[in-house]
Amino acid sequence: MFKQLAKFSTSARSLARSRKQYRISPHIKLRPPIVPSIDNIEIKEDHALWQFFEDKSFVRTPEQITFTGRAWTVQELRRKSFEDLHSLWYVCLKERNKLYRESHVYDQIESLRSQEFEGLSEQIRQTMIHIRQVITEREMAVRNAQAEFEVIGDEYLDEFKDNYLKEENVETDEWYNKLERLQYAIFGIPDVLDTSLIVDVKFLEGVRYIGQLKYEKFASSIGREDIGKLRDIAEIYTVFEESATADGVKEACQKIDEYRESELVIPGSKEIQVVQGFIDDKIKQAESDLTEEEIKE
Amino acid sequence: MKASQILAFKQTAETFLTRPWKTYRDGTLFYGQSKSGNKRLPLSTKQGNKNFYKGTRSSGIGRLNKFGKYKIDYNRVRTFVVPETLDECVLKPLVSSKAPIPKNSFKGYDLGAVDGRLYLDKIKEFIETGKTEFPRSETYVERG
Amino acid sequence: MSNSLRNLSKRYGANLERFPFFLRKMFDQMSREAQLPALSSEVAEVPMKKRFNKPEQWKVEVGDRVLMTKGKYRGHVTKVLALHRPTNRLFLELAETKKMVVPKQFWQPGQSTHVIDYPRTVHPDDVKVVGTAIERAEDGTEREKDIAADQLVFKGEYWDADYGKMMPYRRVRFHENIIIPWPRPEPEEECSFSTPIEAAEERTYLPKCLVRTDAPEGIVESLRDPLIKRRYKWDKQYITRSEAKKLRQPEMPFSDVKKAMFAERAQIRANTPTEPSTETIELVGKLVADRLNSVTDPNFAAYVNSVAPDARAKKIEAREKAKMIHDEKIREAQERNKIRRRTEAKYKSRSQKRNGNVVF
Repeated sequence: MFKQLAKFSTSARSLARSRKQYRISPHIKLRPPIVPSIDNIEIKEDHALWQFFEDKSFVRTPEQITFTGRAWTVQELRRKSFEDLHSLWYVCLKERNKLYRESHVYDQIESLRSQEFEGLSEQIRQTMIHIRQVITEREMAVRNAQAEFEVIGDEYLDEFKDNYLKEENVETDEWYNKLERLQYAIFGIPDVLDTSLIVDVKFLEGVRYIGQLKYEKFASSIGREDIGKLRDIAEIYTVFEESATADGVKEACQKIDEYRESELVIPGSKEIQVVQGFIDDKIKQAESDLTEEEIKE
Repeated sequence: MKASQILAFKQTAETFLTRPWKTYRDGTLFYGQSKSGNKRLPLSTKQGNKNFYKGTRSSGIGRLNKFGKYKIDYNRVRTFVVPETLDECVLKPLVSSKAPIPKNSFKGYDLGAVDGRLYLDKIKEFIETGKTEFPRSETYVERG
Repeated sequence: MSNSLRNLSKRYGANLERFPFFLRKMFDQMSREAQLPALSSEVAEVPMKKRFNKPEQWKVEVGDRVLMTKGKYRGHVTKVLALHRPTNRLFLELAETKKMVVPKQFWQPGQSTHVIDYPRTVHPDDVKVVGTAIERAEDGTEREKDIAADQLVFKGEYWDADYGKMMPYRRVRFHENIIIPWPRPEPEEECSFSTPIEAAEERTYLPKCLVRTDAPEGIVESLRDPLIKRRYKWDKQYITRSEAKKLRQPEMPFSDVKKAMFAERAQIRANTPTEPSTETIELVGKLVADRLNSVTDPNFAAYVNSVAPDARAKKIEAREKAKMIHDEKIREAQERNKIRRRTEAKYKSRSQKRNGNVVF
């Protein structure tokens, strides 16, 4: 039988010259070559680049992209939350990517139909411009509001305090919710504390305001006016932490008594650290409680 | 005078169709803006001299280590923050043409949408009642 | 204009909007010359700022009946088919056409020749809106009658649910009680790119916090160019009055000596009379009068008289006197002429009677 010799390869030739006489196995059969074709290429169904295609078709016809809608206006987008705006931005971006690709295909064959894709793309671009506008506008409004609050904030807080102190029964759901909303709206203190929370000056301000408010409201009714003025942030925080009820403040007052025995006073420069420490401790405590419960179950 | 210039005066249909300008390789006529073509386009990656490296704005995200392997520094890789709820998003790039175009009223607030006092008033309303009202008139004028 | 999406980018852009207007004009003309007549519109495109975008500017809407006032079909009533926004013009149902040559690659389906009739556009000023008015005949029967508004006025607004926006009332000028209603637009189908109304109107954002919004921190800075040359208008920072005071160099206090000097100067300034007293005026007047009255040189005296305060009045008086004399002389001369003419005529008639008419 004819022995097939590997050619064109220097290593193969040198091997052929060698004494061992390396030969390709006679059992190997030559098969017709596989023609490179798109049908022979398998693409995953969830390939990321499918996002550039509509329904996995090569290009859409201009009839498929005729549109009757209009771009989102700024007024409409003002209703949407950031999450919605963010999602809408990506929806627009993906659609424009598709259109850009398809318009390029038509461009390559010198077809004027690519312009129809541009018309839609331009409308979507308007939407995206308006999204940016709304986001910037909202941030600027918050900054302006903060500047405004510097001026009239104290007046508002004093008014709230007056209303709270005048109210006979504040141990109702309405007032609990109101306090909760106030501390979140003005001072950014969320109802549920988590690890991502960073204590800052604004947070301390809120703690001080809410703590004082509760203490002033309930000190006389529970007969603990002997404590007098709350001395430092640790004492105020104890009141702040407890619920806005007479019992809560009573408990806080007991803790303050214990604290005063140690005769510690926290200086102003350490306040943020101390409060951050309190919160971290509390979160750890809560986590350990959770794990204990799980173990019990 | 060039033949094309003379022909430009003859505004008949045939002259316009058979202007001796330029043809594509397959022989079809070219109807373009200029005969010479714009020569002031930006350089492509293949142009320029030996010192010109244009790049694709996609490199420089890592280093070759001593074994010749490219180690990607993921702090330098461009990332896109995609919202988690993108799949659930029902919004589409355009709005239905049937949807009326709303207007916003900022009466009493000088700066309009960015007015600090307006934002503060909304916050106060939220603290008091737990929600902010955005009334809309019959003529689609909404509170800003 | 733009041939691809690439042109919209700042870098590769052949975007005419970015050029100054004179260059834009030149490029526009170049491109129009190069374009096939089939592809270019007959009328030049209007710049973006001058395009109509209000119903008051268009005066008509799609579906309106209009009376044509110009061109071949003057006097015909047709319907508006479409608004051609790039040129601020209208496509009408009945319109003049122009013959156009279309190369084969741009043929429409069903087209079989190179030459087609293409409708011409019409400017909104060249049509008049047609409305209907109810006419009462003498016998009490009512009949609908078409009226064409020569001029229109737009007064008042109403909410049009079909258009989804505020539309102005279209009234006939000088007969403002006649309102020509806007035509009803054809209902459009929702396309696959548009959000349904309910989803678009849903409110998911409420301002709740003064410290932060629901967006991540520093989002505005990420949206803006950090190296921008000019500050944004809302980022301008002004120096307050107290800050300006701190930046200014302090003024040195004056010494007691200087203060005394200022007081003394002020005293002098207060005591110095600002107007001359009557005695001074009289004295100066007397001295000047004496000097001028004693002038002997005739030329100088003439000059003094010419600049005297009453010189102008005297001059005018003299001129008027001369004019009066002149007028009197003319009047006398006219009188004399009258007498002469009368006597001449008298003698002429006598001699005519004597000699008879002389015929030349």
